[in-house]
Amino acid sequence: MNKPKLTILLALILSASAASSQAQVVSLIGGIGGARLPAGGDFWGDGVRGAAIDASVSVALNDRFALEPFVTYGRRAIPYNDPRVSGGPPNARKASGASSSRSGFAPRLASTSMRSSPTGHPGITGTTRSQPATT
Amino acid sequence: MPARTENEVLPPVFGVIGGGVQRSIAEHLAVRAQIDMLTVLFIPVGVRGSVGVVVPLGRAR
Repeated sequence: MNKPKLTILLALILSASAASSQAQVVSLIGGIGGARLPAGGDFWGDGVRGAAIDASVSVALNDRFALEPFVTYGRRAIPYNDPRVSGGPPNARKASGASSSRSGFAPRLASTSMRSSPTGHPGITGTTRSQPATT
Repeated sequence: MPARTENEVLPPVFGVIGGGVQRSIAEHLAVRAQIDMLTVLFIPVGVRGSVGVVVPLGRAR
């Protein structure tokens, strides 16, 4: 679903809410993280296990809630078993640079957060795969 | 076959639920740590954690 007008309208409404709250509106966040996701077979394929860097912008809506889209980027190595590719070194591995982004309501000064997103983790979406040359 | 690069989007949708703490260490600097659980159809399937720094912009309340 791609509805840019609706997205812009929601962004304007949320921004107006943030401005009217007179809160400290914007915070920049950066850090490092890691994840462990087992292979999911037919559901999501290869698993993820590795470190990543995170960056996000937190836009306060009020004293308790903020809108916090973020992006993570990580690289991973998984067995090179792509059936569409033949040849290459026998123990070749493919390296993936992956990034994801999501947004949701995050509590400020937070104790708990609950978010649902289309891109839960680095490696799940937006995968860039670099494949070696084969003969 | 020449080297190539491809981009692809891999579903599905993962739900994320978790928590964290944030502590201010200066007027315009804080540290935070969080841990999240990745879920599919409300079933926990993975975990993700991170630590980072927070830089508030603008006027502090």
